Formats: sequence, C-alpha cells, structure tokens
Amino acid sequence: MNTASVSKTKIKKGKYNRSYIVNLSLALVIIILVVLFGSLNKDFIGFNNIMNIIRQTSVIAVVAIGMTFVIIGGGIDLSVGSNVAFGGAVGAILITQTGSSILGILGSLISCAAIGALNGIAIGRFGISPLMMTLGTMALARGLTLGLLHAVSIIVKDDLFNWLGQGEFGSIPVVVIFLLIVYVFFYFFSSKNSFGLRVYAIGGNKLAAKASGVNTKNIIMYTYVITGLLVGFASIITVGRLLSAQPWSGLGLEFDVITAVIIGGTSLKGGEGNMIGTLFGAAVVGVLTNGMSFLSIPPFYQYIFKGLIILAVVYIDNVIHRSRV
Amino acid sequence: MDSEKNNFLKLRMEKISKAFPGVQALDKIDFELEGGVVHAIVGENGAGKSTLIKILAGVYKKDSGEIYINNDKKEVLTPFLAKKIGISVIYQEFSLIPELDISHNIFLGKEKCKYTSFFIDKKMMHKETKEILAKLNIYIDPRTKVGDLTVGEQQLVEIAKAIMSDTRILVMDEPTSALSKEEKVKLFDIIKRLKTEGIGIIYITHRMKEIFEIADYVTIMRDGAKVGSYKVKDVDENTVIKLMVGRELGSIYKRERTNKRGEVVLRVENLTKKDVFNNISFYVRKGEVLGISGLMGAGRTEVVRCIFGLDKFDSGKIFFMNHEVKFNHPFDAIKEEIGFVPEDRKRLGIIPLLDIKKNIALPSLPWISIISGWIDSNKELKLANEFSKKMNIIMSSLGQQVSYLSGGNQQKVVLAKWLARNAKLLILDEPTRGIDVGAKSEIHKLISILVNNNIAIIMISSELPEILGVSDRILVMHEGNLVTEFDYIEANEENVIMAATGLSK
Repeated sequence: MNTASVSKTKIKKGKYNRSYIVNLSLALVIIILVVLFGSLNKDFIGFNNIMNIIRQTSVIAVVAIGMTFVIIGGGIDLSVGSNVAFGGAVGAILITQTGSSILGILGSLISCAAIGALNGIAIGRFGISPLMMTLGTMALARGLTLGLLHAVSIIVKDDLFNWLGQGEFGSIPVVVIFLLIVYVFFYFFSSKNSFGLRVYAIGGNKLAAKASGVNTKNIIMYTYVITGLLVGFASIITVGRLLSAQPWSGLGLEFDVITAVIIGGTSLKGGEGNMIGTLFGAAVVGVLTNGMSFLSIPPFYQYIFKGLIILAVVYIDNVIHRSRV
Repeated sequence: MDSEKNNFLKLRMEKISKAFPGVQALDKIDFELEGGVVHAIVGENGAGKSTLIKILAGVYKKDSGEIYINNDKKEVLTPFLAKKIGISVIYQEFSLIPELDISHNIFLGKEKCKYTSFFIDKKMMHKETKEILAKLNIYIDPRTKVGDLTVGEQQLVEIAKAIMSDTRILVMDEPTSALSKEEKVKLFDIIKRLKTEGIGIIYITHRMKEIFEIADYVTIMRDGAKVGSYKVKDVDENTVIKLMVGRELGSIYKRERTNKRGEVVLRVENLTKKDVFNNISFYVRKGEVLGISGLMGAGRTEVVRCIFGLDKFDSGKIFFMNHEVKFNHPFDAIKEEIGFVPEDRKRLGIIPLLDIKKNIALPSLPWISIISGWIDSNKELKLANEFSKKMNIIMSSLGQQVSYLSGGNQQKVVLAKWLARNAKLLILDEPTRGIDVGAKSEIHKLISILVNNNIAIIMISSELPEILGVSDRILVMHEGNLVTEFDYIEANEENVIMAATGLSK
C-alpha cells in the first residue's frame, strides 16, 4: 500500500494556553476601565468606591461561579434571578415569623437549592432542554416569591441574617471576604477535583465522557444544585444589602451573570472556561455598571451599552470557538 | 455514436488518484460506464469505493487523473456541476427530510409555484409526484411524511428524487443494506427499467449474490487500486472474492501466537437485541485476542457496546470472571476492569478540548483521588507519564490539547487511558482505522505486549490482514448473526470473507 505519512502535531505549550492569555487580557481590560473612569472622576478609584463596586457586584460574582459550571457542562440557567428573590422571601418570612436567624439562613439556602435541584433533576436526569426548564423555573420562582410576599417587601432587621450583606470587618465588607473564600474554594474545586474535570469532560464530549465512565446525568444535575446553593447565599447577601426582601429582586440578574461568565472566557458551547476568568468577567461587569452610574449616564444608555456588550461578547465567543466541531 | 444518438451518457474516469493524510485512498483508478448499463463496484471496507464515488459526485477533488463525460474533459467537478451533468448519488445515509412529505422531498429546491414565485403549488407537486412514483411502480400517497415510510420505501423515494432531476448516471451505495426481500425485488425491477431509459448505474455493494443478479459489469477494488474490470458473465463468485482479498500479508505485523491460554474472562450467552443482533454466544480467555470480523452493519459494534454498558440489550446473559454481570452504565464495566476503545474516537474516545494528561486520567479518577474527589496531582501525573510513554505518544507535553494530535496519537491516548485502568478485558473496535501504517504496526505491537501480560482482548476489525495477523480466534458476524468461528490456523481470507458476505452455510 502506498502511504504518505503526513502526520503533523501542532505544538502548543501547556503553560501559555488560551485561558492564561484570556485571563491576562481581562486583567488588562479591568485596569484600563478603572483608569478610564478614574480619570473622568477621581472619586471612582477611592477605597470606598472600590469596596462599593465589590459589594454591588458580589451577587453577580457569587452566582457566576455556579453558572460557570453549568455552562461548561453545556447547559444554561435562566432561573437564577427569580431564585434570588425566592430565597430572600423564604428567609425573610421565616425570620419574621419565628425570630430565628438560623432558620432564616437555612430557609434561604435550602429553598434556592431546591429550585436548583428541580432544574438539575429535570435537565440532568430527564434530559429536558436547559433553556426550557430554567425558563419555567424562572417563572415559577418569581411567582412563588410574589405569592409569598404578597408583592410587597418585608423588612428584615436580623443582624445575623444581614451580616453577610451588611457587615464589615473594620472597613472591609464581610462580603469581600466571603467572595474570596468562595472563589478560592471553587477555583480548586473546578481544577483539582474529579467533579470539575468531569464537568469539563461532559461539556467537551458528552458521549466520550460517558464511555469513560463518567456519570453524566448526575454530574449535570449537581451543577444546577451547586448553582442553586450559591444563589441561596446570593439571596442572603441581597436581603442584607437592602435590609429587606424585595419581590422584584434579581430581575435581569441572569443576564449580568451570563455576561460575566462569557466575558470571562467560558464558551457557550461548553467544555471550556475557568473560575479566574469568571471572577474577572464579573469585575468587568461591575466596573462598567458602577462607572456608568458614577458618570451619571442615564439608565437608558446603560441598558443599551450593556446589551451591546452582550452581543459583542457572544459574537466574539462564536468567532474564537468557531474551529470547534 | 450510438450512445450520443440516444442521449446516453458515457463516463470515463482515467488514472484517478487521491490521497488523504497518511493514506493513498485511490491509486490511478480507471473506470468506465455507459448509459443503460449496471456497473457494480466491489471491494472491502477501505478499498476506495466511496472515495471514487465522492470524486465523481464532486464532493472530493481528485489529486490527479481525468474525468470525461461523452469525451468532454471535465476539469473541475463540484456537487452543483455534477448535478447539472446528471450525476445523482444515493448514499447509505439518505438525504431525505423526515418531517416533510414525499412530494416536498422530491421537489426540494425546485418547488412548483403559482401566482408568481411566492406560493407553492402543492396540488401540482402532488400530481407530478404521483406520476413519477407510478412510473416506478410505486403507489404511495405523495402526501405521506417521509419519516413514516419504511426504509425500503424511503429508498424508493430517493430514487424517484434522483430521476426527477434528469439523472443520467445514478450511483447507489449499498442500496439493499436495509431492504426486505420484497423491497429488493422491487428495487431491481426499477433498476432494470432505468436501464431501458438509458440511465447508467453504478452499484456499490459487498454482496456477491447481487452482482450476479443485477450487474452487467463488475470492477473490483482493493487498497485503493483497481484489481480488474470484467463482464459479469465472464466471472464467478469465487474469482471475484479471490480478487477482492488477495494481497501480501507482510505489510502488517504478524503476531507470534502461542498456545498459552488463561481462564475464561468473559462469556456471552444468547445475547439478543431485536433487529440488531441475534443469539450471540462466545467467550474470551486471558492472553488471547478474539477477532470479530464482518461487514459494516453486521452488528459487531452493537454487541460490544452492550457488553460495555453503553447500550441495553433485550435478552441473554453476560458472565465476567465467572459471575453474571449486568452493566447499566460504562462505569460498572470500568469498575470490573473492562476497557473500551471505540470505533469513532472523535465521538466516543477523546475529549478534544482537554489535554493529554486529563484524557488519560479520566476513567481512573476514583482511583487517583482522595476523599470527596480531590485529585492527587502526583498520582495523576505519574499515571499519565507512565502510560503515555508506554504507548509512545508523540506529543509536545502532557499539557497539549488532544485535538491537536494526529489520528494515530489520538488513538494511542485512548489506549493509554484503558491501560492505565489495568483493564483485564480490552475491547478494541477498529483500533487502527484511519491510521497510517507506521502507527498501525505500533498498535499491533502493543496489543502483543498486552496479550503477553495476560489481558484478554476482543478486537473488531474490518481489515482482513489485521484480523488474520493478530487474532488467536476469529468470529465472523453477518447481519446480526454469529456465522462461524475459526482458529487462526484454519482461517484465511477466503473463508472469512465468504462467511462475512453470507455465502457460507
């Protein structure tokens, strides 16, 4: 048989792989943005405002961790916004009815995780389309919230409950420490734990993952449950910041979260992404939002700008990952 | 000339060559076809039949050689041009849209319109469709959804579609693989009819009997070269088979086989899956290679997928190390130390976006992690290092993304990950498909080493030299049935192919 051995192996150094470069450029973008806004208004880069940005973005950042897992695994979760409100409502009601902080905190965490589990079981085990299912739970959670709160807000005066969102260690908000802890944990969880590797495997090639022994159904389910749990924390932060549970909390949150995750280098096609990128992505979203408010840009323009960014990011995501089969 | 007068098309392909990375798919092939003639092309898997057809259809570009239509040289052929010339191909996978009805499918792209080109004239389309179908002796309501038809009926619709577009050369690739006896008879009637209308037919098949039923000429291909073209009445089955397989086995590594055999590792009894495979029983022992031969579609992959827990089967029993097992998920099989190297490594074998190290480690995660799944990166690195070296994977580093490796090295990654799992039984499905000769023999050497280490191996292969050169015992499957079993000593190309094509009793 006549053979022409034309085997080529493209050499790519492991260290300088794509996510490293993406994260580096994101860090650069953040610095540029901060400098830009700072030059237009000196107070922007003051310590207080930086802490403010972090506080404002904390909810997005926390939920984005879960969303990163979900998207890497090839799915999407649109219910996170409504779920945040739901958790807050459950927590607030439990606190005002029973006076127990612990019950309130557990209530928020468990109710949000339950919505996550609902998503996870339907999508992971029954194979229902993530888009359809989470659209459904988005409406469900919002409906439950409005029902529980009778469409009005409930004031929460519980110091322990509000600690996550309101509290401070000296001049550093508790939520900043919380973000640090949670990101460090999930950074290692996604890169050094079997669970993380399996999620990447499923997103990269579900059939091959299954043929390698990965329990694809369960792992996908867990990505949604983890998201739900993180949303639980986000709901507590939200209540803490507003000192109340609001019926329309989290409206549109899913878009900010998904934007943050995509900017951070996670592909909507699944199989790629990392936590550091997500953190930077959330920072970009936060800096932009805060910066535009700082410059008193009317909300109308802020929306348009954000929309354009989402479109641009999705377009770039498509171009970068076009070589994917 | 006669052919031109009756508007018959005369096709001549001269010295067509085509190479893909690592393999010469076609080597100076000559082929001729006249209108009104059925010309069969036979050859084993990989002989180059599909490649030749795809070049004719304009799907692939030839590297060299000429194509003449009625003595007119065609320099560039694209699917569009091929269609214009009148070349239609019916592939094994149909090009019909199941959700649309028959007339819509037939008129796809050339819908009949009324009142300007805005409204589709359904009535007209149905009427014409009915006429076309009637011409072919098919009486099905044109408004039926294609998805509701039987495979045989879909086949007929495909033919009607081809005829609709003024086809002069009709290529059919394994047309009867999914047909019942009655449908086949109908198909042959239609083919005879098309002949009288001056259409030239190229008929690709594995099935010996059909050549002698329907073809006028037969061309035999082997390893990308044309072995011979004959008038069907000038040859017989045995000659054709001999021509299909005769080759030197020297190019493929021949394994030194011993008579050492260990205990039975796997025993399968009466495994059945409706319409896929039937009453399959066999066993494999430690230190032996069980080759499973057969044509594509014989059901081999389906059987091993069920053994590995990827698919469910209807009845039968599987015994592993003498106790009965029921694998509901590959993970159960992996726990028992069974590994599976799939046929389509891109679909089932590798995670393309992950690096080599992670791919190799994937099935072994539970064994290299500590509580709650935290991966011990030292163990992970050691594992990946050890087995990538054993498999001699050519890479820049373990951190290299697997999608950037050559086909042969990707396959080695798949093998490495199962070696790392200490598999007692390794199932290889076409382990060297699409891999150049150099890497092929490396993999065969590795199989040797594995077998010497007392691992049991099931190897599915469509390449005869591989089956004959590497197996200790050979099973042959045909259309879902286990036809026969040979010891490597008694097996040869002819009796294996005969069993595979259903010719032996």
